[in-house]
Formats: sequence, C-alpha cells, structure tokens
Amino acid sequence: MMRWRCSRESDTARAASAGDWPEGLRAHAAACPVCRDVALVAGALRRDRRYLPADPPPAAAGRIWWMARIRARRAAAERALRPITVMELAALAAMAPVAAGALASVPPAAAAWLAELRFVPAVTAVGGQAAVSAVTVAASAAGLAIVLLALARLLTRADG
Amino acid sequence: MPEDVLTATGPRAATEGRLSMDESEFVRFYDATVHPLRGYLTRLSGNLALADDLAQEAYCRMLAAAAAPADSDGRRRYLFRVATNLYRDHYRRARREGGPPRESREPVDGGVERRLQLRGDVGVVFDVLTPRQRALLWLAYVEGMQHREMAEVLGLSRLSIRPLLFRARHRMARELRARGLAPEGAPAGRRS
Repeated sequence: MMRWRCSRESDTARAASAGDWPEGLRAHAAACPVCRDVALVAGALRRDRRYLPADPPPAAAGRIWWMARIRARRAAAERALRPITVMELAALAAMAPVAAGALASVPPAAAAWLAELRFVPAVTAVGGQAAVSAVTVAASAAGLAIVLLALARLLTRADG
Repeated sequence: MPEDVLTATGPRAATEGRLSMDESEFVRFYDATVHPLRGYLTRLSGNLALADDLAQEAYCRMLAAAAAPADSDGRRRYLFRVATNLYRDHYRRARREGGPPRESREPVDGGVERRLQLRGDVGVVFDVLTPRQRALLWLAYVEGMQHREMAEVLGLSRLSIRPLLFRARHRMARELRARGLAPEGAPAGRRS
C-alpha cells in the first residue's frame, strides 16, 4: 500500500519552495516517496513563478476602489427603495379589486349602456346586484388584507 | 460629504453603501496581494485576461462585503476565497454552455512568444489537473497556506485537505515525470 504522509513533508515543501535545503533533508527527500513528490511539485511551482506576468495589472487600485464604491452606493439605493416598491405593489393589489368592484356595481342604467358598448356582460346590467356587492366587499377585504400583511412584513423586517 | 462617510468601515458601513476599507488601506492591501492573486488565477484559469477580470471582481466584492475580516491575513484568505468562487462559477457556466472550461492560454496582447512565455512547464501539466487540484497545489506550495487556511479558501473541511492534496500532488508528479520534467536523483536546489 502506498504511503501518503510523512512527518517531514512540511519541511520538504518549505525547502523545495525556497530552493534551500538543510543538511540531511535532501537525502531524505530523495529516498522518501511522499517527500520526493512534494519536492518535485513544489520545485516545479517555484520555477514556474518566473513564467507568470510581472507587468502591472490593467486596473489600478484607485479605479477598483471607486468602482466598488459606486456599486455599493447603487446597491444601498436599491435597498432603500425596496420598501417603496413593496408598498406600490401592495397599493396596486389593493386597488385592483376595488376598481373591479366599482366597475361591477355601476348603476343599472349605466350598466345597460356599457353592455350596449360590450364593456360589461349583460348579466351585470339586468340584476344580481346583491351578488355583485358581495363580490365587491370580498375583493376589497382581500385587498385590505394584502396591504396589512405587506405592512406587517415591512415592520418586522425593520425591527429585525 | 462628511469625511466619516467616506472612511467608515465595518458591517454597518457596508449595509449603508460604504466599503469595508478606506482607499489608502485598500491601496496597500492591493499592492501586497495583486500579483499573488493574479498568478493564482492565471494558473487556475489558464487565461491572463480572464484572471485580470476575476481579480478585479474579487476585489470589488471583498470591498463591498460586510463579512470581510478586518485583519490582513484574514482579508487575504477571504480575497482568495472570493476569487476561487468566481472562477468556479465561470468554469461551471462555461461547461453548461458547452464551451471549453479550460480557457485558451492566449493573452490579450496575443503573440506566440508571449503565450509560450506565460505557459511554462507547470502551465502544460496543469492542463490535465482538475480546477480543485490546481487550486490545492498552488495554495499549498506557492502561497504556503496551512491545511486549515486552504480549507477556508476552498470551502472544504480541514480533514479532507490532506488526502485531496496527496492525490493532486501525486498526479502532478506523475505528469511531470511522464513529460521528462523531473530532475533525476536528488531534488534540485542549493545546500545550506
């Protein structure tokens, strides 16, 4: 079975990375299969450093810092606007059933006129006002519940 | 704008759109880390232009992160971790889209000489290793990180580092020998 650890592995890695071998360690690294691999790989990586780009990177530190700052400000602005967006959506959600209810409960004469224009189904115009009113109340209650839920969530998040 | 707004740091600063370091502190940190990070990403990705893009993004994210450590070593590890994750995302995306996950080694300014100059023996051998193996070997033998630090950078458990590093090292040593890139006999280097 292959050995996969050696107590002198770290010393060998340090020596091979620095290219500076203490007395005795070189002989150990030549004989020990684990340290032989460590020495070979760490030595190759040490030699490889000269192939890496030494020219200055394209982006200067100052440019990166300002870029990060602009991004952070934009992100903060988005975070600040998020509750407003939520409120706008909640308001829309509340308004939609109210508007639907208002449209459904128009006076019969107007409903008949709208039916002629094919805006509202004829059934609304001919009766069923009680059913329509119930739908209106339910829709308005649902809208109000959505607004209250949104407010509760916002308040919970602000406290947290 | 008041000066404290420009220089304030820490978690609260980050959530208010400020950065985790002030500019002069960042310039010092950048000067100390940009070449090691660039080398790491160049060997990890095999592409200098991609390495530069990833490095820039890693610095930006580190600056904006509320969780970035305050000490220099911790920041360095955090930076390498962010860079590793960015490369991992890039690698996965490239694989998903059917492109070559290992980038072409062509640098931005092109030219065969420049390409060969950046390639080196290790560049050739790294082609056959997995990204994780490349990262493990680089962090262990170039950055000189401890297993605990490597685990932090790579998002692995500390105990898994030793066997993974052993396998990566063994594979690379085998490739170096197979390509005649291993010196015969005792390890090379000066005696002290």
